[in-house]
Amino acid sequence: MNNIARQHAQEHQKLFNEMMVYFEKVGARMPKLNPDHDPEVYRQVKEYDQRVLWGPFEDRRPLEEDEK
Amino acid sequence: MKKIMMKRAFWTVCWIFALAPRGLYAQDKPNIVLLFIDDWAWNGTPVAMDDAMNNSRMPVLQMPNVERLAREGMKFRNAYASPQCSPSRVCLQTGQSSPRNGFTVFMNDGRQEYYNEKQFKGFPVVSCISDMTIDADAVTIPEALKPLGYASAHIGKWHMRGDPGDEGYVLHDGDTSNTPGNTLPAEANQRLPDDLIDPKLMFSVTAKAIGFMEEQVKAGSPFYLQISHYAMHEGRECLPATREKYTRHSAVQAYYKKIGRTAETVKRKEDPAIWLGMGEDLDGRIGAVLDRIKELGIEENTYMIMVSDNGYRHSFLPGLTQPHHGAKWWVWQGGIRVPMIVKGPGIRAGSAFDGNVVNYDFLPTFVDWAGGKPESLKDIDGVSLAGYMAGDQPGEPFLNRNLYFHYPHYRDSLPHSAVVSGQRKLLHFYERPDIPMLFDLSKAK
Repeated sequence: MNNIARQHAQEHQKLFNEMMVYFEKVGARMPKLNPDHDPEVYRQVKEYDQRVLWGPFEDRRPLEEDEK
Repeated sequence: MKKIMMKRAFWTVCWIFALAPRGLYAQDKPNIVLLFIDDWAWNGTPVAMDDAMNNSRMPVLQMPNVERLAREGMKFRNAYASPQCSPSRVCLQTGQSSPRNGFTVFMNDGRQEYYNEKQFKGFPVVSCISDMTIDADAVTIPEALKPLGYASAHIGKWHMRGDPGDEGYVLHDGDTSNTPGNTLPAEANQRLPDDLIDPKLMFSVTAKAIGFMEEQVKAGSPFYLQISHYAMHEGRECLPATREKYTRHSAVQAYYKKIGRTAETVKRKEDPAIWLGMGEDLDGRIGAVLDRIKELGIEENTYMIMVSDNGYRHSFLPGLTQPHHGAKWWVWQGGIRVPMIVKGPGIRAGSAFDGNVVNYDFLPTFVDWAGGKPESLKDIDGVSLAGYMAGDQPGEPFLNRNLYFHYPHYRDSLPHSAVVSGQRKLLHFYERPDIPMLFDLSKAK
């Protein structure tokens, strides 16, 4: 499973812009970066590993056991 | 403000009615039956949603009536929904995407918003609050269909708060969540009781739904019937005899062995025989609806849609290869791609549709089928699929339209959004705006 955003940067940017324009147009609520982010606190929560496993990645994601 | 919104909704439905073709009398109009299944993966049915992918179907599970529906109707290879049940239900009712309708997550009663400062203190992102009811100015399916002569019923799980009657349903079960469908106490996790006769309320839900159909046929009224099953949500239940059948299957026996259990010692929540039995029992209820439609003489004039509310990851049978990355609560394909089959007048038996469709397409499609003008619906994101189901070939604008998914919350997941555009999909994680993500869906899982 390849993340092709870097190789198709213009296409990514175009689609990203379209999404953000749409979100603004329909009044979507948007999350914000937390100025009080504490990485240690965040790592302690039980969902942390799952969030890392299924979070964003560069290039290629290795298949999980049940996907092979 | 609410008064103004109500006024706007009123005029919208008036426009739908005013623009409807005059030649359509009530008895000529098709009935619409939606079989809305809970937490059922794209690969959750025995019907291969993609004929080129063997793992787009569920092995072992027997659902002859769902297979019959696919044989007699059209299956959708690329059907999408929201990554969680309540937001998906709101999209379906309103024809609006989640970012537009603002109902992006469901949290248990007692909270009006999902962002909890204490719970998420120190997290990288301040996630969003969510609407917790359908907007007063949104036109729902029954509100759009009523001026076209339709009576609408919603039976089973609602999970959008508010009163279904306020949204135009003349028959409903009230503001139900998952709870009524869990007919066994949570601690009864060792075995199914031998006298369980209405697992997940699927028998009583079906009986009530059939009763509504019979009444409408008698009255000569076209109807919209939303059969919103509690199955296949966890808290798995089935008839004991159906479970017994699956406990003997070699794949189930292999699973018991893998987890160090037997059919006698396995817990209810980990028993694949109960999940499979739940699917087969549900199939029987789907068959009961199909059969009654035939007996009532309305088969040629009734659309039947079977679709899941969100994606899911069923992961208990040995040898089951997951077709997708991610699961419910994520906008990866595993959370938003759903099984969907539609049967009805003008839909070619055994056909398949490859274009991307989404849960917010249902409202305009239903209005179209009912003889109304979907373009008269204001502030919606969906489009009518009626023409494509009748055989029209979709053009580039449809095939490459953008479908938006917005889950700006910490659940088990991360605040993130996605847009599917033809064969491309972009994901954006708000924690990591520095990692751009784009995928070719013809190659990615």
